[in-house]
This record gives sequence, C-alpha cells and structure tokens, in this order.
Amino acid sequence: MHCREHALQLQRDRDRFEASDGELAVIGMGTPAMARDFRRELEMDARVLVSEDRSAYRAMDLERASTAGVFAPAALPASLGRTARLLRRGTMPQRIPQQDWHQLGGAFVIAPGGELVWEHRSRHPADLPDHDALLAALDNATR
Amino acid sequence: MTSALDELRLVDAESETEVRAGELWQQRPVALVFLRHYG
Repeated sequence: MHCREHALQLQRDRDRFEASDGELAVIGMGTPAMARDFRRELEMDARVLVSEDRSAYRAMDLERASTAGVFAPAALPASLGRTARLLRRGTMPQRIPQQDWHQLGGAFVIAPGGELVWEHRSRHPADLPDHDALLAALDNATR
Repeated sequence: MTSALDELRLVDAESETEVRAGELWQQRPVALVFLRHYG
C-alpha cells in the first residue's frame, strides 16, 4: 500500500511541483502498460517513466530489501495508517505485485548539468521521501 | 553517480517512447521519484 500512498501524495502535491522551478519525473518498474494502469487507477498526472529491467534503480544504488526488510517492524505503524486511509478513500490498499516487491524506492534531485543535490533512499517500504524537503531542494537547485 | 544514469534509457509509460535519462536534467532541475511496485 505504500506505493499507492506514495502515488496519492504525489498527486496531492502536483500543484506544488508544477509551481516549482523544476520538473517531476516518476520512475517505475514493470512494463509501460502496468505503469499506465497504475497511473490511471490512482489518477496521477505526473509523467511516469519505466525502467523495466530496474537498471535505473541499480544506477541510483537503491536497496533491494530482504524479506525481513520488506516486513520491517518500523514500517508497521505507517502500514496500518495508510491502509486505513486508502480504504476510507475507496482505494484498494494492496494488489498482488507483479513487479519485484523487494525493490525499495527513493527520490533524488538532479541539477542542470547532472549534479546530484538531494537524495532519499528508502530504508524500508514505508519510508517515503519528505515532499517539503524534496521541493525545497528542487527550487534551490536552480540558484 | 549521475553519469551512470545519464545514458540510461527509460520508456515513457504513455507514449512508449524512449527517453535518455540525461535529457531530463539538461535544462531544468528534476526530481526523480522512484516508486516501488504497483501492487
């Protein structure tokens, strides 16, 4: 359910991203058709780019968690809260993933020219990036 | 770090066109947000 919550957070903050000095690109796994289905189901406006073989995840050194890491106790409180929120919204909280469910996510801000200026690598599935910090880095990256 | 990503090819989910990752930050800063699976 964390991937769904993450998509909803991105959609909720879409106006803030549009008003920023930068652009937002969401990277996903699987096939383009899978990404399109996910994007439509959650009514995401953001552009989604697919790294089907997860090479982009490897290039950014994003962790592939063990099974114990995926079900980390640290993720439990957020898991319960997000499941409840998604159910209240009428959104299915979880589907059986067709992609690599060990792969963790993350977020990065890259300045023009290619300098990495901000990073967040998820430590467990519930560890999503802070959008306030991400947007601040995006705005600062132009200065 | 980013030089490794520069030449990576991503596919736009809607148009299914290929995008060279380095083009994303050629003009403006970009936030790359990596999702987990779509489950």
